[in-house]
Order: sequence, then C-alpha cells, then structure tokens
Amino acid sequence: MRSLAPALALLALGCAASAPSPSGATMELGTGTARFVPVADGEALPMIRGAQGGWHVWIAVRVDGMDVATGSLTFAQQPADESADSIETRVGAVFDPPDAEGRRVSLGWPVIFADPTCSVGRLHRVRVTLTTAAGERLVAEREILPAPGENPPPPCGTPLPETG
Amino acid sequence: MPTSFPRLPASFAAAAALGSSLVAHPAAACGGFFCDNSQPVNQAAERIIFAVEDDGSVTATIQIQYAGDADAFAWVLPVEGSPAISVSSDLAFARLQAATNPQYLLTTTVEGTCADGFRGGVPGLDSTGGSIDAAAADAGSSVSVVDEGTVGPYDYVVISVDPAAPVISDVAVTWLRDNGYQIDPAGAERLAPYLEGGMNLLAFRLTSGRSTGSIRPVRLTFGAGLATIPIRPTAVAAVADMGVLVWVLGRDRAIPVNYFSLELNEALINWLSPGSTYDDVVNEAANQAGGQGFVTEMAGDAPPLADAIFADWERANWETLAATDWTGREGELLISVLNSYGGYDGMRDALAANLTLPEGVTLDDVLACAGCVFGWDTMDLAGFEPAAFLAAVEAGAIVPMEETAAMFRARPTVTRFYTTMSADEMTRDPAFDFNANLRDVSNVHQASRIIECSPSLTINEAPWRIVLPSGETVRGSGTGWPFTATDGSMPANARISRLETDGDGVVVTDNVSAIAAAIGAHNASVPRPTGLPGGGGFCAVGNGRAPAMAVLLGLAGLALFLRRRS
Repeated sequence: MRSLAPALALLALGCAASAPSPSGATMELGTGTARFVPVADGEALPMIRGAQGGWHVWIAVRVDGMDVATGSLTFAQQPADESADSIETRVGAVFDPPDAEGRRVSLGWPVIFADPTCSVGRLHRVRVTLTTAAGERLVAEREILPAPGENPPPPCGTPLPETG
Repeated sequence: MPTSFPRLPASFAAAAALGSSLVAHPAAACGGFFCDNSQPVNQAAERIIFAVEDDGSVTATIQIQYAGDADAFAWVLPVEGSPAISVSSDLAFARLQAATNPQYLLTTTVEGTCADGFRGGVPGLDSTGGSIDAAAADAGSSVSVVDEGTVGPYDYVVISVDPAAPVISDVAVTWLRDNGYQIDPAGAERLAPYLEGGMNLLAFRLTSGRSTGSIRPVRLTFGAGLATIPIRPTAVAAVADMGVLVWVLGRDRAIPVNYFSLELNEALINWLSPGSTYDDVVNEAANQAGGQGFVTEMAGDAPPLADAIFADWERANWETLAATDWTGREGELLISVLNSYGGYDGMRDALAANLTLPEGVTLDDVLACAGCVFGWDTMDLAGFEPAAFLAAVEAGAIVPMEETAAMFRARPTVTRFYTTMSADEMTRDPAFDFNANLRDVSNVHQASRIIECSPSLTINEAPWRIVLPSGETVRGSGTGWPFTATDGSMPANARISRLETDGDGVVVTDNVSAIAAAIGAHNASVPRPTGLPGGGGFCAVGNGRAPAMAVLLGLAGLALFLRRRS
C-alpha cells in the first residue's frame, strides 16, 4: 500500500505550511479557484462534481520565500487512515504573479476521489509536492474533510448514478 | 512594468514533445475532447457547446476534427457511467461561429481637405473594418463493457476498468486496441487520473464502411456538475497554440472557474486589418497567462442565435417537404431536398442508405449537383422509398440542427470563450460556472478613425488617429499598424483576472497603465506636419484638437477602468 506517511517526515507537524526548504521557502496548502483560502487540518471542503463524472475538491498552494513562476506539482490523496492507496497526479503548474507580500499562489487544482461515495465526512490526507526547475522541493500536507457539496455523491455503498 | 506569466519550463515541453512525436503513427488516435492525431497540423480551433440545465445537468456537443484513414479513426473520452449519446452537426457549429465571431469595426471620418492624387483609396476607408472568422497483457479480465452501440456513423463502447489493475490506463488502451478502437498507446498515462477517479472511458470509431466524410459532432448528456473539458489527454495530439472555442449556455454569463479571464489589449489589434492579427493577440495573451486563460469573446442573449443556427424558414420548408406525397416524383424530391439541405451533416449517410446510385455516379456527384444526376421528371428510382429517405434525413440531418437551435432557444444566456493552448500548457482541465453579476460582453468592437487631411497630403498619405473603445488614441499613417503582438512592445492583456461565481473577480495583473504609456510614447514619436498652408487648417484640427481629445478620452477610459474595478 502506498502511503503518504513518509512525507510527514518532511513536515513540521501541525503547521499549516511546509517545513522551510534549504532556501527558507515554505509552501502552504489551501483551497480556492480565484483566491487562496488557507485550510486548517480537519476543515471541510465541498466535493465538486464534474459533469462528466467524478468528484474532486479544489486545492491551491501558496509559496512564501521563493519567487517560483513555474514548477511541477504532485498531488497525492488518500484516506487519513490509509485504508486505500494514495492517488497521485503530477502536473506542470504556473504560479500567479507575487502578491504584496511576495507570495505566489497556484489555484484551482482538482484533487479527485477514487471512492467518492464513501469519502464524505471521512478524513483524507492531501499532500502536495512542488518541485522547481532548480530541483528544490517543497511539501505541504493537510487532512481535509470532504463535504457533500452542491452535487453530492450518493451514500456510501450506493452505486454511482448513471449519467444521461 | 507589466507582469506576465512565464511559459512552462523545458521539462514540461519535453513531456509534450514525447507525445507529439508519436501522434503520427498510422493507426493513431487520441484522447480527450479533441482528436486529430494523424495530421495534427490540420487541427484548427476545437469547438464545444456546453448547455447547462437549471438542475445542473450538462449537455456537451463536441466537434471532432480528424484527417486520416477511416480505419485509424478513434476518439476516447473519460465519462462516468454511460451518458446518453447522439450526433450533432458541423453546420450548426459553423453557423454559430459565424454569428458570434468577434467583429472589429472601424468608422472613418476625414478632417480637412486632402490634396488630389488619391490613388486606390485607403484600405478600410469605405468599409466597416473586418470580422474575425476570427501494456497490459491481462486487459480482458480487468475491463467491463458498460455500454456499446452505434450512433450516426460511429460505433461506440463504454468500458470500466478495475481500479486494482496494474497500470490502469495501459489496460484500458490495450483492451480498446484489441477490440478495434485504434487508440494511440502514447500518452495513455494521461487517462490514468480519470480512471483512478472511477470514471469510465467512452470510445468511438467509425462504423465499418463509413468514410471520414461521415465524421460529425457528438452530443453527450451528463448529470449535474461543472462543465469541464478533459483537456489533459488532448495534449497527445495537440499542436502548438491550438485554438479552443467554447460556448456555454445557461442561466447567466459563464466564467472559467480555474482559468484566468483575459481582457485583450485592443491596441495590439490591427484595426485596419483586424483579421490578420486577432489570433496573434489571443495567442500572446494566452501565453502571457501561462497558457491557462480564456478570452470572453461575447456574452449575451442566447435565443436570437437559434434562428442563426436553424432558421424558422428552414424548419417550415422542411415540414412542407416532409408532409408532401412524393410518390412518382422521386427526382423532384431528391433535387428539392438536396438543394435546400444538401450541406447538412447526415445527408450523405441518408443518401447512402436509401439510394442506389446510377452507374458511374458517386455520392459526391449527387451532393454537388443533384439536378445534374436526376431530372425533375425522374419518376421511379429503383429501390428508392421517398418516405424512408425523408425519415432518414429527418433523423440524421434535420433533428441535430433543430436540437442545437433548441438549446439556444431554451437558455437565456450564452458565453463564448476562446483561447489557444499548447501541449505543455494542457495540465489542468478547464471548468466553467456562472456569475449573475457580470455584464454582457459584445462581440462587436467599434473604433473611430479620423484622417487628418491637409492640402499638401493625399488621403492615403495623411496621418490618422484612431480612438479605441477603451478611449486610448493611437496615431499613425498609411496602412501600417504601429504595434504587433509578438514584438514585446506591449502586454497582450489589458488585464488578467480570476472570476468567481459572485462579484467582479480579482484582477491579478493590470496592464492598463503600461499600455497607455506605450501608446503615449509611440504617439509622441509620430511626426505631425505643421505650418501647412490654408490658414492652419491642419494645425487647428490635427495638432490642436486631437491631442486634447486624446487626453480626455484617455482619462475617460481610465475612469471607466477604475469604475469597473471598484
């Protein structure tokens, strides 16, 4: 079973942001598509349904102390109790121009759930790893609580609805 | 200084290049909404219509562009469950695009009196500008067929893959290839996130005997959720700066949820020849937003567009044809139908299914000129049943047009988005939602040109000034436009914003001041004739009033921008 646990070694436990990198930069995990919203451990995030199917939560990251314009983001998600494998997706990301404090955000990344019907109300661990072109890595992790959202998945154990 | 977004670094470009290098396989096809794998160089703007019902359910009408062998055609899309599938019409897309294309209109007035010697006119003087037309071995045991069938010219299958399968995307692609769907294994990993998320794969191929000429859009009806383009698999077959054109129908103006909203720098449009520069400006604007932004080309009332797609008179004419008894008048029927509806998608298939062609005659001959093949007095074609032919035309050609028009009739608002994307930028599936607070966006952009004549200059030598819709004034002379999108002299976006489902959104990058400064610097460099004969006619008009007007209009424009932001 793939586990996110080793990543914890990279984190400052209980902190919103990653442990500082050698350069002193940190990355914070949040949500939002238009603006960065910090997320606390255990915070509920609505599940969003894509019309073609699948449920996701919006994940965003904010980097402080590093003028990162582009990078590779790897999103990993699994139940916090590690009862299922981690789902990982790696993407190329661009970051918004720096804000007034010099922080950069990358917003609106969908992190999907393999078993949406049984994910609502169940803690999930989301880990994001940023790898810069220079090879520097930042890792941020949160435990989030998927909430039903506007188009909730059916109750746990119920087959997914047929579309159309 | 304008702040722009850099392109993705070389490492991502390399990944895209890997996919691109494999798209030329003879039996190649691709994933995602778009496909033109065998000859991606032919891939033009890809078009989608999303229609969102009040209950949130989404119908997606997707145009499929393909150039290659019919046997090699396949197209795959991640879906949940098994959506309702039907076919649509390329003609409907063409008419919709024509009706909503951006238009850059230039009205021209002449100040003063020019010298004789006018030769050939001034381009655009008497016009209103221009319109932009603008590996897995055990695949079998891990794959279940959820649905399969035939729709229009396509065979389709919906499969689900056991999430426990090793390399799940390879299992899916291998199964599809083994079953006659020539999905390119290159880039299969791009399907993995969807499969791991529990989604199925819907794959199409051309039914045996169908030619690529039968390829037409498909319509898929999904459940409630965000209208989303699964763009990531498209990267396998995408060419550089591939156009993506999206119409979203719904209750309000639509917004790109997780992509930037781009507001073009209209000073980069060559208003004297807008069609020649529009795509360059959009290209550059999208690039400066990291390839992840959409221009809202128009937003407004949807119902009036229904008639542009399938006019009332066309419907009435068809109803008359369909209600007529054509017994013994088969040549007249064919000529009448083909004269009016010969260009409709589905007509070829209706003919092929119902008409035994005379020796030496092809379907193309009939479609090009039915009257050249049949006479009005052709009485009785062997095996031809008028009622069956009419039913086939109705189902395959008329209904898809009517259904597309009906989508526009039934929803109050349509929003048209356009962008260009390259493979390395296709990392995030764009999603669309609605915002009732945002204003309509006209696709008609109007500027005014004032030609500053004097007796010593012909009209095509005289300087001009053009007042842009933003209020900025650009000065120039002759037929040249002083700015280009690719020379880096100005940012291609006036603003880059993130829009939300409420409010005016967040301006991430505001280049309005930088653009004004660049225009001002240019204008200052344009020589202005002075001391002209005729009592200062030019000086009084050109050098006195125009700069003052430009300042006033500039201030008005700035005030407008500030008001929008507040």
